[in-house]
Amino acid sequence: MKPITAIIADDEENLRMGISVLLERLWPELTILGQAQNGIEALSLIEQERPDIAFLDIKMPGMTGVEVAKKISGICKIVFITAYDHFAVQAFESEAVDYILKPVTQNRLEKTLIRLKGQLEAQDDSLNFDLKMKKIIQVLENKEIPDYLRLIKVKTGSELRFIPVSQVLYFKAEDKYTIVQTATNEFLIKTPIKDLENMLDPKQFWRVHRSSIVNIEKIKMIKRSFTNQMMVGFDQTDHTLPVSRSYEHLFKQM
Amino acid sequence: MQGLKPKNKAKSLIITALFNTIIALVLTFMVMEKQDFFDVFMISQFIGLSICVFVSIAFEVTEQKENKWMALGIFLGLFSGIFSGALLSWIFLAFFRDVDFGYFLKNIFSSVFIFGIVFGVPIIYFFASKEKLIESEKQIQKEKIKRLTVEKEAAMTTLRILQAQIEPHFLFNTLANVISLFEIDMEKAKQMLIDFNEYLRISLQRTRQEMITLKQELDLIRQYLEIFKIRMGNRLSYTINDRTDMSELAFPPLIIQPLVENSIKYGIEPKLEGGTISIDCRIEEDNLSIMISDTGKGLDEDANQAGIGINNVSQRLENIYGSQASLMLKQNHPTGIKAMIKIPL
Repeated sequence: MKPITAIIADDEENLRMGISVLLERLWPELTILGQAQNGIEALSLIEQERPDIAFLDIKMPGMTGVEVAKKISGICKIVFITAYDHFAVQAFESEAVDYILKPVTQNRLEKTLIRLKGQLEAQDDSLNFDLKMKKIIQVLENKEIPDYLRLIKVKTGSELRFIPVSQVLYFKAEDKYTIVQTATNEFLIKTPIKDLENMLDPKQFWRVHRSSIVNIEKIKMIKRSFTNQMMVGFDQTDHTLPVSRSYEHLFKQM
Repeated sequence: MQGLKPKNKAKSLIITALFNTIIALVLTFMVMEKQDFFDVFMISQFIGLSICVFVSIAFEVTEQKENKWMALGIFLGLFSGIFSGALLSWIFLAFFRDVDFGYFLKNIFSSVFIFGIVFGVPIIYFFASKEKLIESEKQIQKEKIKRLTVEKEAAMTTLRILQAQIEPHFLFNTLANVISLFEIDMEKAKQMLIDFNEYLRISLQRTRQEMITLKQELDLIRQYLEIFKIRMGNRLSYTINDRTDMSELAFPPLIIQPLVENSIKYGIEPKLEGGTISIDCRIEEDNLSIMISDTGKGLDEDANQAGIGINNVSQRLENIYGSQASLMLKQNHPTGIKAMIKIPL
């Protein structure tokens, strides 16, 4: 009988070695064909060696374990290795995919191996596999949906800077650009106010005018000018911005 | 804005009446010596009290309205007050002193009118300052809320320091390494446990403190990076340079560490070949200047995730130092991120 083969992929060498040692002890007949230290290496190793089993860490540079799994669908059985991650574990459970939690201990690995041996004898349903991976990738990606814009990328001269949104007093439209105003600086970006409004946390950033969005945590005061225009003033500066009549209700009862 | 309460209204009337009496006394004995005190007294009261009544009505009617309506209301209130006061004065004079309307209009009304303008303004001022008082009470309320928020924030910070330092991923990954190292390299396993132990010791010791020293913070970062070095092998290298000669300098926790964590998590770990983190502390003029730079993959993709920690650090600096501290983030050349912190000495 042809010996059963495997590869191990994890970006942390100690963990790769650890699993390898445990596998040798628990399953001496298993032949480890190679180790990979990132997603790209893992993919080419699997395509080259065509092992029966691939132990894939989820979080790897280059390509995640799940992405690798999706690309090699059908070539081999996959066992994911993951650090504590509520979402991932839930996804694996619901898709009945094999996984081992880090830290990988002898007990945990033993249980997985028993199940794995049973599966290797049965027929693999690789048709379902693609779908399963797609679902898992979806879960993992959804979890990482970028919620709100937290850093504003600005160019000053040849330099690229990142401005934390908490430092921004307000955004104001000016010709084709948008001014990003902090207590000490003013930057220009090309994103229009209209788009920024949807990207910023509405709890912190309020549209107060056709041409401006303010950081309410930076508001020092709200007042009315002699012409009865509502104005907002900001911390650490003497900047003020007008509030459109249609947005005045935001500040009522504040 | 809240209108004056009935009790306050009565009080306003009494104060106005007193004010009128003083004016009448002054006018009778110092300005118009030929006049009868009782007449001047009565006219003062008529004019003063009607201004008081009309202006307070004007304040009530316009208090929810915008500034211009309020100004108009007060203006109308003042004139209505003067005219009705003058009318009452004439009725009084006609009844008791047989003054006819023509004479009143010709000889008395103009001085009554000027009197009304001159003394109506202080009455209005009196009302306006009452309104201001209500405003300032609101301000005090606001300050109280602010202070409570600050206290709550302090408690939350302690919790966050703990969570950040002993973050579950960091904890599990470190233990996973130790367990693996037991199988392959006992010496290394021992070293990692020693580092981790030291890290936990420093961490727990300082969560109760608002301020630690720069040296303590750098020691903690060193332990933290040593642990990562064992995990990442030659994919990670680091340098820590303290050129301040002020190792006992007071320094807040949770400023450098989150930035180092970001550098590893979003810069170096996801990069195939890894990279270097450099931490450099120096004194520049009256500031402590700290630069944390990495040669990782930069912030293009993970800017929003990394942004959580960065915004927290920025907020924390502002809470502690106001506008005197700053955090600046730049692209590092050729790759990676450079964070520059300035803290006043």
